[in-house]
Amino acid sequence: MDTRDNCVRLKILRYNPHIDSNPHYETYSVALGEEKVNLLQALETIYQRHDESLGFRRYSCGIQFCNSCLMLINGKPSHACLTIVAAGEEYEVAPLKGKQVLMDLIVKDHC
Amino acid sequence: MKVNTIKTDVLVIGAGGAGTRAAVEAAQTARQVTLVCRSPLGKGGLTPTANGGYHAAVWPGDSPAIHAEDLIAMGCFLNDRNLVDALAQEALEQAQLLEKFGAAVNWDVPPKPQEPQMRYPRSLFVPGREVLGALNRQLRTCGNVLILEDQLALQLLTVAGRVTGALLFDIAAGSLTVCESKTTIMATGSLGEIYPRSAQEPMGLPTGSTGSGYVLAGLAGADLVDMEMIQFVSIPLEPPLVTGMRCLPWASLKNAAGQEFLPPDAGEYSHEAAQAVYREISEGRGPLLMDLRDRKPVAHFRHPLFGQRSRHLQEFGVTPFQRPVSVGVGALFMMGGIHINERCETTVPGLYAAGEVSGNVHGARRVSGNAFPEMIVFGARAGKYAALEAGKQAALSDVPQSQIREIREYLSILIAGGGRQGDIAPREVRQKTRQIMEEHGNLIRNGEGLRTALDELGSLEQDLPSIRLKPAAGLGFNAGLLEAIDAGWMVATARIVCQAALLREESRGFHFRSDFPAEKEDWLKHTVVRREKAGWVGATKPIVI
Repeated sequence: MDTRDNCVRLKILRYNPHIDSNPHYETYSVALGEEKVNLLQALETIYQRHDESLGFRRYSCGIQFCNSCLMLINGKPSHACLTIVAAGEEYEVAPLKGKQVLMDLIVKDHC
Repeated sequence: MKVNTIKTDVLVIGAGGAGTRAAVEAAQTARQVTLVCRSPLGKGGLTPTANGGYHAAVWPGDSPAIHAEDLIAMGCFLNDRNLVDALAQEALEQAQLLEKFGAAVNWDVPPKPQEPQMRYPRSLFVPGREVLGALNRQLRTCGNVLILEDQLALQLLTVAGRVTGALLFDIAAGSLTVCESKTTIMATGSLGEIYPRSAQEPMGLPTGSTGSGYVLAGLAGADLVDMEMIQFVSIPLEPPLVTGMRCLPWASLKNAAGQEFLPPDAGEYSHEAAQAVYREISEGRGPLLMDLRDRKPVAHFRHPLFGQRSRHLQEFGVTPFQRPVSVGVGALFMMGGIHINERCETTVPGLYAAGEVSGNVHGARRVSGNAFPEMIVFGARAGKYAALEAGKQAALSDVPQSQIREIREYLSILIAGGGRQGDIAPREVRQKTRQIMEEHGNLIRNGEGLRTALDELGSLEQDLPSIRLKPAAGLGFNAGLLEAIDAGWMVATARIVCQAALLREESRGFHFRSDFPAEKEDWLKHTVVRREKAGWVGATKPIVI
């Protein structure tokens, strides 16, 4: 895991109902380049480079319409596509509350 | 693996604008409609990302006949007239219906025609989110529409040459369902992901635009027409965030020597402009920079949402008003696709198609603002005629078990043993396909390059059965499995595109062959790619004039 200053740390609540008895946190460090990156892109980087088993909806409409990337970010429901993440910071990421968790950050029909 | 079975009258595959419009229409007549969506409803595909230009003849002096003539002239006479007439004649009433369903339609048409060759301004405005919001609300009031979310159609099922349903993969549960249907509508959208640069991947994330509908319909025996006709447009190249967010203003673009090179009056979405950008880069006069730092940012979009999109991009500091942006070309829209007639019937009994997956509406060049009326007009038509035919169809015939067995075997090959180390990862197949298309199947092509592409894609196709999947805990939300399925469709789609491009030995609209640079009278016909025992074979068929 990368722990240099150019990394953002994401503490993600994970739960696969098929194998896990309880949800648990896993923390990932994602190296950031020169460009600003949003949380959805950081999750995509984890999926591409670190952990293919991470469940989130890999989709973005880009205009805050589809709401498929709504999740709890530091405890508040937010769009991952609109949340720019900063190097050196840690973010707690969890699925929306009050919805059935299908896998990790994916919940059932959340709007 | 257990396989469930459900029965329906009309099956609609795909829930963007065309699929939802089809389902709403079919539900008026059909007893039972089933709508299949690979994401949750309204949360996937390209319609939610679309700006919302919607052309209709509303300007004083304009008429559907003039609108149709303009589309055919711009389509380089490759459009089928019966389809263009239907689009032009019904665009207005379908926009009024969308408004009746609750979509906010902006009727305030800007006085300048969208593209210089258009004789009248026609641009109504109804964003994708308004279309889907209204149609999805409408759908939920229908008691006879079963909405299957997170389900991916893997194969069309056929009995004696007639499509009798589809095999569906439940992405969430990882299970298979046979959906038997009296009629089936394909509304699965486009293929932009076969190119590394595409306006179809906002923020670099996939939209499922992998050509699945062309492949499934083709394998079921449908004629695919003009598959070489892909519209390309200027898009920002770097950073990845803005790729696919069609945010570029139509403003001065200069090459590395500081010279402007775009042909005057070509129009933002023209093949002349796209080809000029492509040539500057491929002939070494790049990078092409758009630098608008001395200008005031303009919100040129006609909906508050796009103001928000602009604000978001500014937050990222990636607009040409903030720094020079490097520009290239990317795939925007597929003109070719499944051949349909004015009732949206394909060449296969029982199978209909509507929206971007269908083929013979826009000819060799789509006029910006006409994808939405296509989607809505033909969505409604497909729903209507598929429901009418379903009403006349006798009881459902049994689906042959052999076809289901093939897919079960395919799935078990993909997931065999979980930890099986194959030769190639799904992501590599995707990347290789995109590299091949970037190099040899791009907007300027030639016979030699296309033959090389076909060879390379052919050997990639042979690697598919040994595709490598990492061990995953079950089939539910198994992203690697979905990537493998999509990768297979991308290879097949790319092959079909290259085959069609090789067939058309002329240049017309967005198809430019450097070895056949002139437009030819005797190529006023559709290319056809269809599946036969020998594989995908090429043919031609006449245009409806």
